[in-house]
Amino acid sequence: MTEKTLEEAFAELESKLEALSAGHLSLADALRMYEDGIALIHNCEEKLAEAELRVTRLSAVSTSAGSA
Amino acid sequence: MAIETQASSLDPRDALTVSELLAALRFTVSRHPAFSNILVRGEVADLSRPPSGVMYFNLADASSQISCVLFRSAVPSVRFELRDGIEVLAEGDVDVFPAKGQVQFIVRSLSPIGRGAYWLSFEQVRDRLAAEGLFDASRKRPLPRFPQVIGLVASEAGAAMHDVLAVLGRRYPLAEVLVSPCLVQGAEAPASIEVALDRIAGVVDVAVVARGGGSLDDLWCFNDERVARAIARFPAPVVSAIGHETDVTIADFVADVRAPTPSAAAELVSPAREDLRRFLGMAEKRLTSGVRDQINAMQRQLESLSIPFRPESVVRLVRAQRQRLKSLEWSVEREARQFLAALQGCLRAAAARLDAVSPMATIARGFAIVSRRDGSLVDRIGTIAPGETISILVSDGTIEGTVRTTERRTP
Repeated sequence: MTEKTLEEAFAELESKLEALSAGHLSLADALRMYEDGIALIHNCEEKLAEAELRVTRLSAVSTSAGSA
Repeated sequence: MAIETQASSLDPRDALTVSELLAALRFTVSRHPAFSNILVRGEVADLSRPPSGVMYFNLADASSQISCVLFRSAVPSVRFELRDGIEVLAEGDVDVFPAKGQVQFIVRSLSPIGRGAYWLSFEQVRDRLAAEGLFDASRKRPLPRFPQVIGLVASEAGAAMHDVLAVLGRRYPLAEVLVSPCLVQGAEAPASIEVALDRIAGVVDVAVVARGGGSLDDLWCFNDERVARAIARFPAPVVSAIGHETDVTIADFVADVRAPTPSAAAELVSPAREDLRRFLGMAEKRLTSGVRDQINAMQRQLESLSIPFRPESVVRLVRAQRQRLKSLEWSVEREARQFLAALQGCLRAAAARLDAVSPMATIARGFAIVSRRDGSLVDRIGTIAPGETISILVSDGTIEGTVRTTERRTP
């Protein structure tokens, strides 16, 4: 669950919103959508709050070796 | 001197053959330092390129011209497309071509000169790549919405790299940035940029090629055909940000998106954290209103039921329930569990109240809430089978039971 990427979480959230606004769900399903959706939102918010940019630097490469 | 004296004697036996004359000329010219390893500037005229691969042309100025040959071995050193009218600098040796008695300039290397030299090579590379379709709009790829790995091709020492990392850190710290350093000016730069791009091909979701402002000379490597081709073959979208907004390089033409500055490029490849938060807030509201709409629909259904003793209390109850949900809608921080509990409380109260109204005693049983083990509601015969365990929620508690039989009501 925590391994879900932000992109996946957003996509899932969007599909839940769509399903809910279409209005064909039973009350039980609608409530489950709501519950899952809120959990997703909290999950995303946590990710956004904690995130820190990771930077990986490749070493410089000499191009004069004539590998062309 | 000796030749002159002999010629004036008019004795044919003393005459030179033409071949001897040309050989002597050739010998003299080829040995003379003034004609070897020299630079000549002039305008190209009468260019011809026979299938042998040799290039012939004349170098001319206003009043003179000399025929020139560029042998096949020297052709690859010409980095631009030779054509008539171009002013060039030719390096080579003067020679005499005995078969035609002609003075020739054997060109070893050739480069465009004059004010337009840069732009000439720029236009030629641009036109060639355009003809191949490398700038076509149909080739432009959309940028990923949530890139996980962002490639950054820039000078390790430059401000461009600093700017891009600063913007990404502020806007979208969820990504990993893979920095692939390269030279961004000088003769080695094109090959260096090409290698830096190729190294991260297939590993990143999007790449930014960035360089801070500089002179035309400084930025020139981004007009190199090798750089353009490395961008074109890159498997992920490439955003170019070379120099200032007014600087346009061939790298910009071939990139999927051109950004006016390195900071702008960083913004293009990253969603803003604030926008994401706004989306989440909006999603929360929509979820809540979605559930509320569901409750409203149920209320309408209830209201439309034509029960002989339709009690106002039932309608009031549902209204209260709706009010409660409305207030929940705005308290976005509340947990879903609380919401569920509140709703269940409402339903429980509704069942209790229904029970309490004596003429409704029989109906009250119909409003008990029957659910399966997993909590899903049993609202139709078809949703439950004999033998399944059910839970019946009544006004003051829960009844567990097992379904014996089901029977569909005849209309």
